[in-house]
Amino acid sequence: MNSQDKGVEKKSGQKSQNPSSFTVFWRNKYARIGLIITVGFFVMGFIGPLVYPAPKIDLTEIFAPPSLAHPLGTDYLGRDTLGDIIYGTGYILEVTFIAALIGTGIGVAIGIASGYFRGAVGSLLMAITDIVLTIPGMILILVVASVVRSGNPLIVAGVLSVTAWAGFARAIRSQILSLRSSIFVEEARLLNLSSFHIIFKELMPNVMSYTAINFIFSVQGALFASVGLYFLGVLPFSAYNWGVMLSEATSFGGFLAPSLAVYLISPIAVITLFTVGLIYLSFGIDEVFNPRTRRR
Amino acid sequence: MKYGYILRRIAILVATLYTVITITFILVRLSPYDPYAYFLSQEASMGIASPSQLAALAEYYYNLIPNQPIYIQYFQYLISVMEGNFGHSLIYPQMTVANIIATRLPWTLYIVITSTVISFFIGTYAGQRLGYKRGGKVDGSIVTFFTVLHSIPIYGMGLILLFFISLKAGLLPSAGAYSANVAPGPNLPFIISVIRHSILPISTFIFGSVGGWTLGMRANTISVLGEDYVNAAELRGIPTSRIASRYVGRNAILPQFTSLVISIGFAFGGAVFVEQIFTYPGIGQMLVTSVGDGDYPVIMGITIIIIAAVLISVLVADLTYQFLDPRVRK
Amino acid sequence: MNLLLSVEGVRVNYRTERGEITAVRNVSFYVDKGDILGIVGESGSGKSTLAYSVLNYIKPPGKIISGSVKLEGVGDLLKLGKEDVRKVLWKEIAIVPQATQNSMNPTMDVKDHFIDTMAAHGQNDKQKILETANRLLEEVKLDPQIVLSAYPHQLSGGMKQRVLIALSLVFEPKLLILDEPTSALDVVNQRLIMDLLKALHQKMGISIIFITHDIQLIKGFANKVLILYAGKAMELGDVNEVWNTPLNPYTIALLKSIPTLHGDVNSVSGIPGSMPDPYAEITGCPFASRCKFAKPVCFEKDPDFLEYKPGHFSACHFSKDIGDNYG
Repeated sequence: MNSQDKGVEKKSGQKSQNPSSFTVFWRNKYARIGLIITVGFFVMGFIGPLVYPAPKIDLTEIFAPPSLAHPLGTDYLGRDTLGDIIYGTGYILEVTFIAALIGTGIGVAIGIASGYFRGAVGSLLMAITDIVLTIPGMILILVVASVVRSGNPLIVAGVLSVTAWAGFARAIRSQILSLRSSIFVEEARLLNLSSFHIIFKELMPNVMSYTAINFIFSVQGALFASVGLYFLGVLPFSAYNWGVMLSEATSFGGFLAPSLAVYLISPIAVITLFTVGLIYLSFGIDEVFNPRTRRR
Repeated sequence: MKYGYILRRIAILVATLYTVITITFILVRLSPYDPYAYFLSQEASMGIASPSQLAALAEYYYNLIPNQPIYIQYFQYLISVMEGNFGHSLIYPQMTVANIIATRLPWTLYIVITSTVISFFIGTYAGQRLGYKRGGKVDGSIVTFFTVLHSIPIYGMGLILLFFISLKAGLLPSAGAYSANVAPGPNLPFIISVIRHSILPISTFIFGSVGGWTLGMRANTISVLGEDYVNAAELRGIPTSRIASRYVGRNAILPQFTSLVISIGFAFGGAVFVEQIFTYPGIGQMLVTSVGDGDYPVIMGITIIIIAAVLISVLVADLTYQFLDPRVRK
Repeated sequence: MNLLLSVEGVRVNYRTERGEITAVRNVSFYVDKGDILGIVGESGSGKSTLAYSVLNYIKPPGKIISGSVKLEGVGDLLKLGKEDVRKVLWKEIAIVPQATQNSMNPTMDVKDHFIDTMAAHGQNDKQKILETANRLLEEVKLDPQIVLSAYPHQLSGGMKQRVLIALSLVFEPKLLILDEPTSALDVVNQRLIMDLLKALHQKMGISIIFITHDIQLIKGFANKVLILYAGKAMELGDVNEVWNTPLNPYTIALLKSIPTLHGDVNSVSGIPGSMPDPYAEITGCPFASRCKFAKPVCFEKDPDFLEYKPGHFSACHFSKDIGDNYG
């Protein structure tokens, strides 16, 4: 802003002490809410099943409304809805985080490689990226899933990553291209440091916060897609699964049951809450680590 | 320069389409799951013993002649796809895949294009207004609202609308593209029926995407408001309304077009869910049904057509963008 | 009287997370018709903020706390409403902002910039606008045939700067403010712009405020100079007089820090220390902590900005002594 004094701006950006980066992170409202929600889901997924009873079939309590015994009511077999959700969390976390890890990993590798090694290799990698980028992911995932038909978290995660990496690879590449010509990389080159050193010590740290944000969005994408695949019935039926819950809500006469609203909305609400948490976490990371792009 | 760019985009389009066709071939023919081999063994076990009969069936459904080297099969497949011949449905043997697609694609295009256009305009307008009100109290809660709206998966949105608006309140139909009691054609009852049936699917798309458009335009507006040329225009005494449209709006909307390119692919992905939920007779619902039935010729055909449709939309959006932004126009 | 602009006691504060800071401290100065006033200060001295407060264009979190800016024929700009200020901007006072590289709308060509600017002030005759644009672009040594239909990204930095100067002259304003007009340019373009401004000044008789951190640019261009330090006016007067007989220790230090082509390199010295923390309360003179001549009184009392010789002002408790001894 030209009406502001540059010197003043610089000074106000300085911190009087140097608090740890976690303190800075925690001070941000978005980061705090996002972290609490995300950690909450991990607690629910991995500690929940140890303390909450597993849902059991009880044909006397089909589609029961919420009560003390069943806080979110029951499903078409009288199983506890909250239990279904808690016991389904672990699988979702596994699939989404593995998928994000694969997608982000491929994205970083291809992005850095095509940005750093120019020439034929870089061009080829970018051409592949451009092609994958234009393929609508959900359609391809659906087709691949229809052929593979497995519920194994690793395989599902792999299917979900088929196209997820491309957009990120492209963004990383353009960052690397601009970093490549920057002074500190030039210096590292003049000092004759190895490509390994330049890539991992000079370039990687500069794309870390961006990578973290992409990882979070990949988790979100994988969450929507994996639950969606189960909802469509493309992946094999499995007990304790949010997508299967949605699918069952629409079948087995569920739509006619009076208590359906709670049964239907529960998994949707959980997915939405998880997503809000992830988005807030990304806002937080963005504001804390990229103060220049900070929303005014 | 400009023609070079268009040629490059078209080359990418062709390469992508070729890649997708190849992927479908690999999935059906070369993957360890090989649905085609399964089909042959199925037919054989049902008593069709004569190899010539088997070969005829295979070619009828899959455009693949058995017992040929794999590369010959591949080229045969490529050629027949390019001729618009995607074989026949395993479930409806009398229907060609091309026929099935032709009856269903228009419904999907209608839903996807209408909702994308409406959502884009509402979100872009709202986003600019919000961008101007950044930092206020209303701003914070509206951003939270759109963040939550954006966080509801499209099938969640569809199920909620289906359940509350259609099944509980009975306001709008829950399935199909038009009522059974109207005669398809250019008559008013049919048109009204078509619109009534499409309101919920279109609304689902809009609710699912308008938050993204709004938040995106808000962020663009805020970033453009911080640009020197906006201050410079104010300093030249240019009226606020003119600055809002020609300086802020015009520049903030450009990244929205980039997002539009990406959103087209997403919209077709979303169509799979929305059409399934509202039993809408589009190409997405057909895809899900075929996946459930293992109707691979239809799956392959639909996949190729959807991706071709997305690629063409992307090309159109991309060329429009070239026209709008003088920096890439050259 | 040929007084064009008189600025009295302008104070601008910024509200930040850590409290209020003062960017401009009760600055007063004046511009006569035909003057070229150079405003010189290090970065962070508040010179840009001062320029924008002259236009009553300070955006939150900044705020003009007090003062008046009287323009001949208009009155006190700081008392005008937003719409009245808008009408004055560009017609009476024009500014070429600092970050000229990004001061043009990337999706508008040069012609549209002229049309938009003139239409904003009631000139809708396209033919007339184009005539004006043609004439002014030629004036700044650009080919209108090529430049008018060019987009900003197709122009070099120096060309953009000249387009903006041409644009600033469409209404032949009484006063033209140039905020670091050459700092983003290479030496050749710098020279070109300075020569151009000199010619325009002679031809149109327009008054100019020229803001820079480079005191050397002032000499030979401006006829008056205002020296700012930490938001405070330190010295104001005729350029040659300030150069030869400065009345303020900060000016002396500033002049000593200029390397000359012929002089002894060893005589060039930077100013030790750094500008005061903007958040710290300053009771005395803001320069006291870096001043070679500082006495206890300098840390206790902020010196007033006083006229020591006709038209030669300074803010220092010892200006009189310095004036008697220097040179």
